Amino acid sequence: MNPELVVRSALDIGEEMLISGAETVRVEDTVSRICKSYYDCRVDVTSYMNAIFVSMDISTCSHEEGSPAIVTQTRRVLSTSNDFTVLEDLNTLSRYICANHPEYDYITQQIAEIKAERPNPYKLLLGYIMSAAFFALMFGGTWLDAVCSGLISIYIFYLKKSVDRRLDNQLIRIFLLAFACGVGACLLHISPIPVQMDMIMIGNVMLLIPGLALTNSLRDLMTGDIVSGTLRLVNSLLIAVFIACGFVLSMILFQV
Amino acid sequence: MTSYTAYIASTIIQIASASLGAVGFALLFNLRKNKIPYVMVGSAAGYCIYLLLMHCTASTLLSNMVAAMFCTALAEFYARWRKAPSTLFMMSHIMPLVPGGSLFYTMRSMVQQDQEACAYYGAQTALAATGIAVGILAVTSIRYIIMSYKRPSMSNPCQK
Repeated sequence: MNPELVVRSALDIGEEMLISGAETVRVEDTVSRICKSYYDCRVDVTSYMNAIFVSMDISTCSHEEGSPAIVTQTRRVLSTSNDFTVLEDLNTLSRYICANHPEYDYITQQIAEIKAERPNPYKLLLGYIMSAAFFALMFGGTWLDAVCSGLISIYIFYLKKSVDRRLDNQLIRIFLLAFACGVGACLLHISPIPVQMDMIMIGNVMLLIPGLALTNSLRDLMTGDIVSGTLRLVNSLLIAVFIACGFVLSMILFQV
Repeated sequence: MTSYTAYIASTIIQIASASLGAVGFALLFNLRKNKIPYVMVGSAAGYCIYLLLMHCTASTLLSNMVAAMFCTALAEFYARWRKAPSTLFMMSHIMPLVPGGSLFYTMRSMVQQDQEACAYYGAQTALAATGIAVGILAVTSIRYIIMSYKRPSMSNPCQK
């Protein structure tokens, strides 16, 4: 396979990994391994939260006449989420590529197949309900709080779907979702049902708050990946501020 | 005696709900169904260790660090056993430890201009997040050291 296609297919995989929520270290490692398995030469990979840069210097190793000495390509990733099924499949695919050196068409087809397998929406909905309900219970809520928290999360799940389609600013999206959560919790608070508003809020907050991203950003910083770490840290703190604003706004509106 | 029983019962409910909450997040992250039981066991054990250390030492940093070390070590073991990236298990295991609640309280008290609460929750969040990050890093580093002794090619299977 010619060097340009090698870098392109490595980046296709790296890009999908980044979209599915892989750490930057893992992305860099995978891209560099795939490139090195085809051409035994110097490969430099840099990846941030939303971009990958690869430069492969093939002048030092055996290659076909006429191909360029240095191949450089970049990718920009617009949105990231977490999809562990895709991540697992991509990991298996990249191991297969390193061992068997398949052609470009095969790799493209495999990636398309992995991407085509959409997550079951009811599985995601069940995930929303379970996390919201059980984290409300874990933080000291009653069973009633857990049930109410689970019910609000159903509404958040469908709201998130429609908001994600219509708005491209992540912070505004999160703000709207937090506000909607807050309104739900406040309505339950002023209703005659004896619930603890804080516990319902915290259950749903766990769905939105970037606690995992904050922890991962500190991990990146300590690994020495200062750029990624700082980007993630600032991003997660900003998201947390917007979530708090959404909740506080709803509390001010209902005067609780 | 009854208060003691009630304490045990509430602790068990807390651990069970932490475990099921982590399963919820695993579903949300679209983890394959055949890996869900591992998440259930790992997160419950991790949270158990956290509660135990929190009860004995009352140190947020230490409890989170040791619990995260255990979770990561277990995830590495599962990853070798089930042939899947360790991140999948690790992210789901540490979910109950992650300082989501205190991060929210920090920001809420900041927006409501409650300086004292903001400082308190902010410190708790920073300590918990740092503890988890250090715990993960410690285990990852130990794994690299073991790998480098065991078989040099293991750390880079694609190297020619």
